[in-house]
Amino acid sequence: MQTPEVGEHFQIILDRRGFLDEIAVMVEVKKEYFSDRVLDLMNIKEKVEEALRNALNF
Amino acid sequence: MEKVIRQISLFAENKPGKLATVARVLGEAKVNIRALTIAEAGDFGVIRMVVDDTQKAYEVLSEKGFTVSVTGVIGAEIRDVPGELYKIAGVLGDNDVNIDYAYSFLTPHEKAILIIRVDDTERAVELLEKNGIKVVTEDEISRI
Repeated sequence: MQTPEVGEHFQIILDRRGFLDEIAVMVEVKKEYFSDRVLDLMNIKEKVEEALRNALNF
Repeated sequence: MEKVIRQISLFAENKPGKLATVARVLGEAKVNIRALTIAEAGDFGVIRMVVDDTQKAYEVLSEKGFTVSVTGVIGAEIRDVPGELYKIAGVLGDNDVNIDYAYSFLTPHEKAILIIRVDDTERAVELLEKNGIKVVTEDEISRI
């Protein structure tokens, strides 16, 4: 994964809600990027979501 | 800087039992929690706490696989009476120091300690002390 803030191990959880498939990706924040500020962590989350959306063409 | 207290911050999934695990690990290591707050952000949270033995807390939680970091915060001491919080918030606000977050605890000596995370810690300590507000050390927190 080309996002330096998160580690190389991740978990993908596939589910189905009604007629729609749902995908959840669990990542681990690297120690050096972990912050006590929630906003910093939300920014990492958004960055990963954006990278996934671009790669998967969602 | 002596007046900067080291706070333990750790990442936790927002799931039942996570705080219990943290509490058990610290309890077994005989680390006493002085103050604690949880910042909730949907499917995860950040547990922040001031303890009596920061180094030990950091080590035991890291060993158990938690993502832990140490953050510099300020402990400002006030009397446990109405209006005292304003003294701290007023001084910082008047001088454009932003408070990122804060939480507090009472001491057995009728004092309250406000733990504050600010954008400019050194300046905040200077301003508080200049205005007659006692800023406690980590050692003082340990000995409460």
